[in-house]
Amino acid sequence: METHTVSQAEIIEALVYGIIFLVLVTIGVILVFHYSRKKIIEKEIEQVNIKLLHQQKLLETTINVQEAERKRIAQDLHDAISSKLNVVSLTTYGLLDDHDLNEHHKTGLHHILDITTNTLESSRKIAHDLLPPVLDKFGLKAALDELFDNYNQSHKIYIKNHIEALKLNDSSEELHIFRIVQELINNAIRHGQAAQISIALNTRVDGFYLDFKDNGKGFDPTIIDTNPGLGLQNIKSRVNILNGQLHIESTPHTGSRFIISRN
Amino acid sequence: MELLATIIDVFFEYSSAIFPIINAMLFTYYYKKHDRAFQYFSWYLIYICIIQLAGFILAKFTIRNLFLSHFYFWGQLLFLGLFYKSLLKQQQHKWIYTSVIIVVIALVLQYAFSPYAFNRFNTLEVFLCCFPIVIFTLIHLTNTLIGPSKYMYINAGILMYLTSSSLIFILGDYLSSGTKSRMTDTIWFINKVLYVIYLVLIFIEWKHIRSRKQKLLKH
Repeated sequence: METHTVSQAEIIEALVYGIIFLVLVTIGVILVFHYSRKKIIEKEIEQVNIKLLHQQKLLETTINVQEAERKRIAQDLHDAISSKLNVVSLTTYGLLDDHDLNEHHKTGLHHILDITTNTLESSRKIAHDLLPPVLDKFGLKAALDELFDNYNQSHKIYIKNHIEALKLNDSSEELHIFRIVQELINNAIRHGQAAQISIALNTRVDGFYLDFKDNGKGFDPTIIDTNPGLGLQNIKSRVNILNGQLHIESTPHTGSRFIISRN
Repeated sequence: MELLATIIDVFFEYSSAIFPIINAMLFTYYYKKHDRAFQYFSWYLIYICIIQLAGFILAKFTIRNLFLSHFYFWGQLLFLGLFYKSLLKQQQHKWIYTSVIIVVIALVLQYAFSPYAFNRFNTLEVFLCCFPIVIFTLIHLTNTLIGPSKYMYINAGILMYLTSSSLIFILGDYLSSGTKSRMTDTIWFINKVLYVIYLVLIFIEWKHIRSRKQKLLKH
């Protein structure tokens, strides 16, 4: 009987160690799985980031190529079409001075003159939309002033602004800021149905601070984060090209605020 | 020292009695707002509560309640089987069906040939009912390596508790029949501690699921 009690105690003691061992092994298995999973996720995130970076670079290149192409087309419109249409216009005026012309010919020449003037105006407008000449000649402040004047003259929207002349190293950076402001205004009118916009552009030591506010419908920035539209995607890419930061504040029905900065 | 040990023992005794009720209430309250796995696990928790309550009532009337252990293991296999069926991939369901069918056939045959197994801790039953669930937990763990990590706390709890408690229950008859010693008490105490840890992990899972759901609703 004594021997039996001793052996039972030993078995039970072994069982205690067995249970402890099993608990430790299962905890070990769970930890191994947990850390393996963490590593796999880290690798996947890394791959996704590389893919995103590649897409971002692709988008930036596309934007740069698009701007270069716009500039070229605007230049071609000005040099090849507008200048030649001006020659046509001048020649027509010259012909109209001829007193020997009958009424029928005069009407024809007036018709040519009308078409030429309209085509010249259209070509000037297209070239202007493609690349505002003011931006190229007088800089960002003048171009933005002109843009705001155009919108304010329409009386559909009021743009209050305070623009400082920026000291940027690259003129292409001015173009990107101009395009961003243009896109933000378009979005505020088209999607936000805003009636008032306030824009402030200030200089910083090595950059700028753009504060854009509208009184439109507003939106949920978290949705925009996951699924940005083409316009906002374009803005984000341009902000990246500028090495800046974009901060969006908005809630439905309370308007939106976009802060883009580079210090 | 003796008093401290008693206090700790009473604490785990009450925790193992109260926690299942709390968990069952919490899971049942949010039953409709969650997925199938959550609902099956709620059934499992309610079932555990019923078994525990029945055991308590029978013990109160000094009626032997050991036979309830069979219902506990069958129910555990059924509800946790359903729980893992909703968690595992479609092509892995065949493993669940096959293992449950094998267990049912083996137990029917065993009880047909030796019905007296019903009056003691059925070691074969413990093994057959717990082993497949441990395998399901491991399959789920493997799935989470490259897929979504759902019910990780519950899964870890089941894996840890079932692996170690199976060993205790397999030797349950031996432990209850022999001379009562300090070591036997220690083993039952370890089982109680592991059970409470398992229940706490279930509670943490509930909190985790709720906070994730609330975050999603906020967005």
